[in-house]
Amino acid sequence: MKTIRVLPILLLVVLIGAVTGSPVSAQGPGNGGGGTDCWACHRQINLSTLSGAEAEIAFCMKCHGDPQVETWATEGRTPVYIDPVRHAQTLHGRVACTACHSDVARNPHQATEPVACENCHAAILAHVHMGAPHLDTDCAACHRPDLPIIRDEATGRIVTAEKDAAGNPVDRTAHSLAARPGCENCHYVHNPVGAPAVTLPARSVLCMPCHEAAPIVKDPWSAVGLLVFLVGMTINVSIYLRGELPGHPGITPMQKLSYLADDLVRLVFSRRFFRLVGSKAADVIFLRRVLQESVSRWVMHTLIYWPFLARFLLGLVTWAGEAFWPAARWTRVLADRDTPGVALFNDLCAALIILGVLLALYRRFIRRDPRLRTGLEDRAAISLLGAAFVLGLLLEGVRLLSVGLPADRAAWAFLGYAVAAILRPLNLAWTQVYPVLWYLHALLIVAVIAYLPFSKFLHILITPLVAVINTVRGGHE
Amino acid sequence: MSPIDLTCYTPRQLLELDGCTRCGECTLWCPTFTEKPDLDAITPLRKIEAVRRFVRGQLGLRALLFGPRLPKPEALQAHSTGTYDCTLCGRCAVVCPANIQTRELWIAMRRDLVRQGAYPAIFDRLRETFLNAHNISGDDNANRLIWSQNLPEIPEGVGKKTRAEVVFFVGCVASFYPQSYSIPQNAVQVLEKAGVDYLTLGGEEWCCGFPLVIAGMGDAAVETIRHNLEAVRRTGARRLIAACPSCYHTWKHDYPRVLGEPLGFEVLHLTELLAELLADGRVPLRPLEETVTYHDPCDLGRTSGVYEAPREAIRAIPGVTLVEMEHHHQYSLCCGGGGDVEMADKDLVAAVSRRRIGEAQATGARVLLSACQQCKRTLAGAARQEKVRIRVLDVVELVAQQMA
Repeated sequence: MKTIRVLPILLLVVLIGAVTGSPVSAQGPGNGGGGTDCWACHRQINLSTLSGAEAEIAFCMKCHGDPQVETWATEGRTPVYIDPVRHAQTLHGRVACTACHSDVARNPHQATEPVACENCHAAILAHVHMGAPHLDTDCAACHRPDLPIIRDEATGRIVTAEKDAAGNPVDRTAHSLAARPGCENCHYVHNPVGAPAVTLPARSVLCMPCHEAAPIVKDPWSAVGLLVFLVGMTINVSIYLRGELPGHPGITPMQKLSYLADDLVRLVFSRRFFRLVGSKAADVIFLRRVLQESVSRWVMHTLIYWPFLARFLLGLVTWAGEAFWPAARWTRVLADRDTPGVALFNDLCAALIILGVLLALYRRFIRRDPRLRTGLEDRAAISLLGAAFVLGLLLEGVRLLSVGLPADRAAWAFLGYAVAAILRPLNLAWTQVYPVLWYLHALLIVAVIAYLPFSKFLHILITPLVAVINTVRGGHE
Repeated sequence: MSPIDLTCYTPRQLLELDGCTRCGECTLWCPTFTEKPDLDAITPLRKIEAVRRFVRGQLGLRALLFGPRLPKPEALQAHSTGTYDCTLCGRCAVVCPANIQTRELWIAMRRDLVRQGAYPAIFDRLRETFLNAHNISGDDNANRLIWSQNLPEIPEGVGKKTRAEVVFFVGCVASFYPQSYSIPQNAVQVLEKAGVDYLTLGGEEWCCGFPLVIAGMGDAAVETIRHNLEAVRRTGARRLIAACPSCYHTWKHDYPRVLGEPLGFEVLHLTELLAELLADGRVPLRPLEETVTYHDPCDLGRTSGVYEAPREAIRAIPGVTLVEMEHHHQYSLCCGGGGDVEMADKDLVAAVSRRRIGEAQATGARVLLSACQQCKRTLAGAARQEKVRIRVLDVVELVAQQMA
């Protein structure tokens, strides 16, 4: 029986070899490992149809559904028997085998490529918002919690192991995938892949000003921070709307909003708008009025404002890529914070911000510029942001130490790399230090966002708005 | 003390309170803070900070949770002093990196202080005089043309016409303060020479309302504004000229805003008309070998954007060399005479004007020109006090003096 089942395949292969005299060139999809592609000669079943998929599953199950298949396989390899009944009950039970194992229809009959989940689940790549390490993680590492995890030395990817710690082959044939990722596969103390010892929340919308993140809120801290921020801004806007619009005494706040929106729409759709954009945009973007009065303030402000804006914009573009073009190569390149260009860009921005902050501190506390009045609000703002920033730097250093990124890649993040070099002699359990610093950093940012509507930070939102409104209105009443 | 009334401000101004970063650039340019460095409440950033605190105290999160908190009387008093010790020169707006329109904001704060009853008591007298006498001096308003009595011959345009192309709005200072009489006297001589069809309103001219508007009592000026507009409309004039920059600004910008309608005629400052007449060759001039400097009145320059017309008129006099002071155009130092500060703090006005006269002296010019009767009064007073040998004249006086 077994011989009969294997025979068609063997005959097929022999026939192809005899006819062509040489292996068929590997042009077909999924033939990444070289060898002879079956589809070079055989008409491929239409896998997009249910009947096609079923026919293909049935074909594969002729061997893989028979427990004896293990006896035909090479000694020491991972099991290849698949229980047809259990397989049929899994999420992928009615999906053609080669839709996932895209390189097996060939001779030698062996899969070398990882399962290509993204062929169907392109949008799932948006998972990268959970953090750059997950870009280098096979889907199975999270969705197959039954398998051991290792870091592939050759590629640096986090993958499911073919052998267990004792060197015995692991049974990887269960096709039941966990719908929810098993974070604890990696996130535990003394894990082998350098993952933080605790599962950390996905980056939220609060992280977007500085990091690549999605506009989501999935952790309670971010939710509280955002809620306080929104309450504060609502109070602020309600205060602004208590003012009286010239020429419209006694109207309600909603009517005021309506008049203001009307003015805005009229402006945007007027010729004047394009004239203004042409003549005034640079004034606002390049802070001409700041430069006009004080070069040192302009340098300080530009060193902080531009890098922040640059990082925000890069994060926004990356998020847009993840949301709309998740399979695009550029999205993956941008989303990986260890891509040399991205790492260098982020650290360069951070270095410029540090310079700007140092200049601000110098002007305020050492040179004691007579213009400046340093009050409690100023000290609170500088302290909060400064602490969050320092923690961010430490965090990057500890991350590089935990993951053990090779020096040739890690060095692109030159600030983080320098911090890592300083911290390394401490020889701490970095995967446990990382979550602590992460939470401190995140909580400080939550505090900054929550405090923003009530503090000096508010100027980050309002001052550009005032500058734009008054530039549009012109200098005179 | 009553709760803060945010209808004194526009939504944009309330936004500006939060837009101030307290960078302090304004403090270096504030003419009154320079003279009173111990009174931090004068500085623009402190005024903004104070109102922001008052607003938050009554409408912010803490107020919503624990009830509103009225400002402490001493804090309100300090803010009031700072706000009324401001000449409204608008220099802070020029240097503000956030482009906050400070002068309008200070006036809104004064309106707010008036409603809260926290303003200098002397302003009650100003309001009373304004409403009863229709001018700021309290003189009989029928005597508005008293300055014309010294003219060799009173022109027909002065009090004898009822219709004309141009209305010459003389203003309270030039009408009732003898030091300034020569400004309208010379102005009408130039107008006569150029053959301009003009008239003055005499007793029908009421104070333009500027002193009340900037005191934060603009509501009391609405009837006066209506009266003046009707008086001008009755003449059929196409143009109104004002020798006083404050009258000019009020007519040009505040009247249409308050009344919610266009005036129906053009408003010009006297120097704008002068520049036009001189460019057209309608006023022939004799040469004058003299070095002069020009002081930009705040309400003409920074507030209204008229910088070049007076300079063009000066340069039209053959032989005259115009030199600029250290601070000119939008950076011009205030003479100290604005913002009704004179009513509350005469010493402060003297100190500011002293600094300006020093700048004029440093140019080496023998004549200090301005285009504002209040600037002329204030600067001439400072020159006298400081014994600085410099003639302080209005541009129109020099032009009239050089008429061929």
